[in-house]
Amino acid sequence: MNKIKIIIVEDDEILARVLYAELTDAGFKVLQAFDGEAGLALARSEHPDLVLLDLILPKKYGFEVLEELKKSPDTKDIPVIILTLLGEDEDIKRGLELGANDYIVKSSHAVAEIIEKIKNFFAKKFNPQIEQEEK
Amino acid sequence: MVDPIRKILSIILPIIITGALLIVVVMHFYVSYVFRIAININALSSNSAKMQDIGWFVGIIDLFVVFLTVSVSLVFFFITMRRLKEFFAADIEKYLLAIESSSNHIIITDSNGLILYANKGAEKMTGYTFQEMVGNTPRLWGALMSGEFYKNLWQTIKYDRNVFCGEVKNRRKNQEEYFTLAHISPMIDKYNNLIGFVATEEDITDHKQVEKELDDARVATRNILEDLQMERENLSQAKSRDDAILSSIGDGLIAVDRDGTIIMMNGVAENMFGCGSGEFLGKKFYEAFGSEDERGDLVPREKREFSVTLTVGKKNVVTSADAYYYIRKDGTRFPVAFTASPIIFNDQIIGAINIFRDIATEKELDRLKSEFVSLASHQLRTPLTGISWTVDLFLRKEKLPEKQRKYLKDIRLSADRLNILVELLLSISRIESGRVGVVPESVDLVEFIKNDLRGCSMLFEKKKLTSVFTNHPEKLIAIIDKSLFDYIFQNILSNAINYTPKGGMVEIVLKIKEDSALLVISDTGIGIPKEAQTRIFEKFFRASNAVMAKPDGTGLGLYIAREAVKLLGGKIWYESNEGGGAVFYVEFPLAVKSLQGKVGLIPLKMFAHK
Repeated sequence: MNKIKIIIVEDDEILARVLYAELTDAGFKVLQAFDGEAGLALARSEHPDLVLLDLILPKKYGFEVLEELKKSPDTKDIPVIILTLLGEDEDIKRGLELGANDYIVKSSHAVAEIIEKIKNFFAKKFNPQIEQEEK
Repeated sequence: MVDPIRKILSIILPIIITGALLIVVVMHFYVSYVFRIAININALSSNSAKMQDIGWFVGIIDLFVVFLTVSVSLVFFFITMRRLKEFFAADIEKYLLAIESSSNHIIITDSNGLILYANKGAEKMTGYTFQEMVGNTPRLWGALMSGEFYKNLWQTIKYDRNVFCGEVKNRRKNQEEYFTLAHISPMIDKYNNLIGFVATEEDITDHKQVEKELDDARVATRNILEDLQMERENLSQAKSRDDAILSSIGDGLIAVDRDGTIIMMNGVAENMFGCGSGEFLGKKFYEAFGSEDERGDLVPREKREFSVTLTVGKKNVVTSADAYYYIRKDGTRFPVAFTASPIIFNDQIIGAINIFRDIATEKELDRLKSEFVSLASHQLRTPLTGISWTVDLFLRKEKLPEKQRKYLKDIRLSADRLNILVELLLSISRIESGRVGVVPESVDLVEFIKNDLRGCSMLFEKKKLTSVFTNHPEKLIAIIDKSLFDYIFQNILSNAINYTPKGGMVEIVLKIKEDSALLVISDTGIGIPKEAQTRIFEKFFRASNAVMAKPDGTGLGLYIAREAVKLLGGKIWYESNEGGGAVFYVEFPLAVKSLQGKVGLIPLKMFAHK
């Protein structure tokens, strides 16, 4: 079975590096982009299983990237989890409205928790029973 | 016409009669003479003796007739004379009568002023009889004027021989004073001798009284007019002053009457709207300028500030809460903060007044401030997260000696604390900018608290503290903002844990009090010193004993907790003695009101299950 492919769009190199290391160690195939435009291009070309999308990004804001991904029939089914530092309810609401699957407030979580969350996301995705059980 | 004819007839007739009689007598003598000759002729011719006898007889009768005729004519002569005399005397008598019966006071004196004559008017006016007056001078009733006056009087009439005319004050016999208008004229005979004076006086007391009253009335009227004038000046001065005060208000001011017609608008307001001086006056406010909300939708007329304020029977003072814009004459808009109040006069709303200011700068500042805070906290949190995550990665990947792991954990802990501080500051910024909303939802608080207590059981164990939560209803369903309640509860609970020494006890009580819920958290901790008690909810304030017990506290927890309680519409208070533990009370409505807001508080993360 092919590795699950995740694109990290995160401009802070250190955060990106930690996420990259953790997710790779967790068994995912990880690709990186450090600005909005590169992230969008990468997502279009690579068709990942998940995009971890920061909001405040150079060149193109996370929301714009999200909007464009969801606009195109080619990329609209790629799941997106928003990575944010703001934790403003409005941002989260807007992100979910634009079609994001979930959100993670970075500073509120230890990195292990985030990895756990991503693992859970795929577990639910590939085994909807888990979701059922949780409900 | 009849009287003069009769008068003339009464004089002429006796003259005619007298004349006629005298003519008769003369004629008689003539006839008698002729007759006698005739007789004598006859007698000569005939019977003369007889004739002589008849002559005697005729002579006697003739004499008798003549005597009678002369007597009668004498009588008529006298009658004529009397009538003539009467005719000429009538005018003088009339003058005398006129003088006598004049209501004016008329006296005649000699050249020394001694009274010779006084009419009835003078008697009546002075109250003295003529007898009393004769031989006296008019000093009897006069002499009330100044010496100068009399000197001038005598000079005029006696030496200058002119008529004196003037007002004189006199006194009647009964001591009553009265005023007269006196005319005193010298009487000069044909030899140019001064023979006396004639004085007429007219009582003008009533006239003077009327004049005085008129004068008084005139003075009073003038006083009233002066008062009015002064009042008007004062009023206009007061009005100018009020106008000056109003126009000096640095904020925009618009006043409307009962119908919403603009009756006043100061220059600041006119500048803000970009209209000419007085251009909006007389227009309805809703025709003069429009107003919009944030999204650019026009505010309907019935929801406009003036409409609400002018609502009959209410004294609505309207203050702008949300974004509110006025539209300038050129169609552009500006954000305003206003206060519109009804103008109450005699318990009636006679209009409304709106004071407003352009808050564009403030809005911009506000935006910059919240932008700064969120940017700053973002900038701070990114490296902090970097530290935490890298440490996490380090700890996970590298097999390190225990000592080094300890160091890394210390770094991680410090980064966490810094992170919490940033979050608290962000929370404060959110609260203070009024952006925190309240989202009520149904929560069983008993279950909620039990869950929280389970989540921090580790903390209790670590400090060997006992937690008690037994005094509560089986269920307490409240409509509340979960995150705000959680924030408040965690805050007080973590204080109780932090400031209670090992082996202590923390008790939580929850009860219903009418339509409120009361949460009581008591501990056996260090308590709050008396001098700190009034300041415990202040931002950054920490009691001295708290600093000793826990040096790394922020002094922000209770401040935010109190603000959160306020958002729920509740209140928070405590009882405490230093060293004797503390009891915190939080009372809040069972159904809190929803409040529109952009953000929530950043949740505290003291409990593992969160």
